[in-house]
Amino acid sequence: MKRLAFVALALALAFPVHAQEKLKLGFIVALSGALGLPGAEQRRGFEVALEHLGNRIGGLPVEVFTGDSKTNPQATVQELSRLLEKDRVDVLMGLTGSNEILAALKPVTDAKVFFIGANGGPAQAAGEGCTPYYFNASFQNEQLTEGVGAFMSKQGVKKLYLLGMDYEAGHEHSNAARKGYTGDVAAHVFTPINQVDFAADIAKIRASGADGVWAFYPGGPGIAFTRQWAQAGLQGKIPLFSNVALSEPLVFQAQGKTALGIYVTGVYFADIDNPENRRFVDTFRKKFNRDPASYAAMAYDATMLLDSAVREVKGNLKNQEAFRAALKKANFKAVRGPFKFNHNQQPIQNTYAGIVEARKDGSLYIRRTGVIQEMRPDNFASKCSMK
Amino acid sequence: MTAGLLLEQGFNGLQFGLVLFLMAIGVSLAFGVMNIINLAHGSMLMLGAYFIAAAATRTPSFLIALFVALAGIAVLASLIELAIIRPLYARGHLDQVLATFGVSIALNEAVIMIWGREAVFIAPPPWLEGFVRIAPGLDYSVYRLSITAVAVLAGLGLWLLLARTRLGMQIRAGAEKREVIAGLGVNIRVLFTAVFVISALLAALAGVMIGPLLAVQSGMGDPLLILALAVVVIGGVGSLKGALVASLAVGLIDTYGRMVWPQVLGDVAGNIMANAAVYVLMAIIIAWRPAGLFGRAHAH
Repeated sequence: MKRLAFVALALALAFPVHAQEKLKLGFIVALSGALGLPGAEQRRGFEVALEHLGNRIGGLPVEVFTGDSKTNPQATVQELSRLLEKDRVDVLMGLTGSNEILAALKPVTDAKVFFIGANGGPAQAAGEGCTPYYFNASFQNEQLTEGVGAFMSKQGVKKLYLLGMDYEAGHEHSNAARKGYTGDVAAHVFTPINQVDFAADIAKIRASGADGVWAFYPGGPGIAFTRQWAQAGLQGKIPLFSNVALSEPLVFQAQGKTALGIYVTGVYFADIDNPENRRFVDTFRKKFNRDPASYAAMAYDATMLLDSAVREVKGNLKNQEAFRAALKKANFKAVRGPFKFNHNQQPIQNTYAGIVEARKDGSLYIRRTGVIQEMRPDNFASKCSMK
Repeated sequence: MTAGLLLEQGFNGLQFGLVLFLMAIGVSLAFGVMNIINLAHGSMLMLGAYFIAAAATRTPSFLIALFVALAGIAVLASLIELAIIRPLYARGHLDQVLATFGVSIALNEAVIMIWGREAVFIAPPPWLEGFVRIAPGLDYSVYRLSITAVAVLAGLGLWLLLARTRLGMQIRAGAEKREVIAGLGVNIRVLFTAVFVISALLAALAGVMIGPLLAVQSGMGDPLLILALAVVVIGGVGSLKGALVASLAVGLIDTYGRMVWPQVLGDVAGNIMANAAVYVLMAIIIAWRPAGLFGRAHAH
């Protein structure tokens, strides 16, 4: 009997299992700092995904190591080195700010650990800075906005007033908004990041005779802008366009009815109609009592992408080429609708337009009005030498 | 540029300037009277907005909520003065900056722990909604006018307090010459606590009034604190007249600048100039009168 046990043990040691018995996943998002709010929403989407997957990814039990990138590239690098060197995670997912993503590209490439981006995509990471170890499961930044120019022209805007926060994203998005717009531009202004009172700008807009406004104000300033816009009596008088950064479920509570009637563009709205999204939104609503914002949906899709790839390689992440090919297949049903990877490992997907409306119970939601860009790759893919 | 727009921007600039005045006066008094650099002042504005949001949902009337919120601020401010600010009077400015910056971080985090990271909604009281015709063809928001009115009233109240009461006389004396007031047998500790609480109340009042126009969230007062510091530098430390003149100047220059510079310099350069104008003014004033417009170059 003893001998039999010995043999059994020896056999067990002699034939190590090929697949790992659990997956160590590093989940890193901004849980503090200016992007702490979107970061928390990403984590909610991730939680729902794990719940749907029964805490297994690709069939493997998952052990999650959480990191806080703190809206700060230096902190991102520190947290990454902890996750990579101390916790020795098998794969990484998340990040919130585009500057965090840029800071992460070198560490993950050096460590040869795959990183699945769950929010935003800076131009450089899609273009000359692309790396085989970075898959962007969310969007290239311009994909949130592009197409709105033609959409505004179609909505009858003849004289457009653009304004945005004076930093990189404000410039990128408002420039992207002008593409395809055929009318006149009344003005294109940038306001300081810490500006909180927009009365002067709103008076200028009114006096300019503009018949359409495109504005980029994420987070707190976005709440302030829409409140003051409504307060000034312009809500419903001059159409206000933006992307989901200005108005979506994350800020509906604070914006209240001042958000009504805002046109937003984005790659995901909660009312997208497919079985995966219905299930996601249903669970999310039960847990958090409101619609998911796109940050949550992007993290949900990123988790499902990872699940599909781990399943495809049967849990064997050691063969990196096979795992990379499995990720690139994107063999999962995204809640946002059709989703493919381009050769630069950035998404090819739709951009949607929608409008903020109220349900019968008074709660706000984004009603999707249509597709404004169909299955479009990003604008920087040609600068990426990867195949 | 029409006369209507010029008038409207005048109202906007006045209102913005007066909100800055409510903030700056506290920074100026704390520095002038107590020789304290208080970087936690932005938190008082934030707490004013949060307290009114919390009080408004629990009381039937906005005015009662206002009273409750301000009473809460007064209690909290006196506790902060007793526990944290008082030991700092004898210390250098660097220690004060570090300690009060620490207080502001702690208060910002406390707000996240209590109310969460998501911005809180405050609606203006319904009787202040709507518009009023201030000139032919020009409708102006009643709520923004009421901000201006409240700030003017608070300023008048402060002026009465400083000019007509014994406490005010002591505060003015303290701002002029701190050494003398201590020598006259005034209870300097009580005086300092009073100044700190009055400063906090004015900032909180600014927070209450602009709360419905902003995102009420952690750290919301900090951008205004930066402008308030610029106002104090321009107006001169410890000078009430300076704080008023500089606040209105900053409010109007910022507002009109957004209109004028892009027309003079074109879109790109004009935009940069409009955003930088306040700080350019500050640099010019420092070069011309290092103590500010109404400040005295007294040695501390």
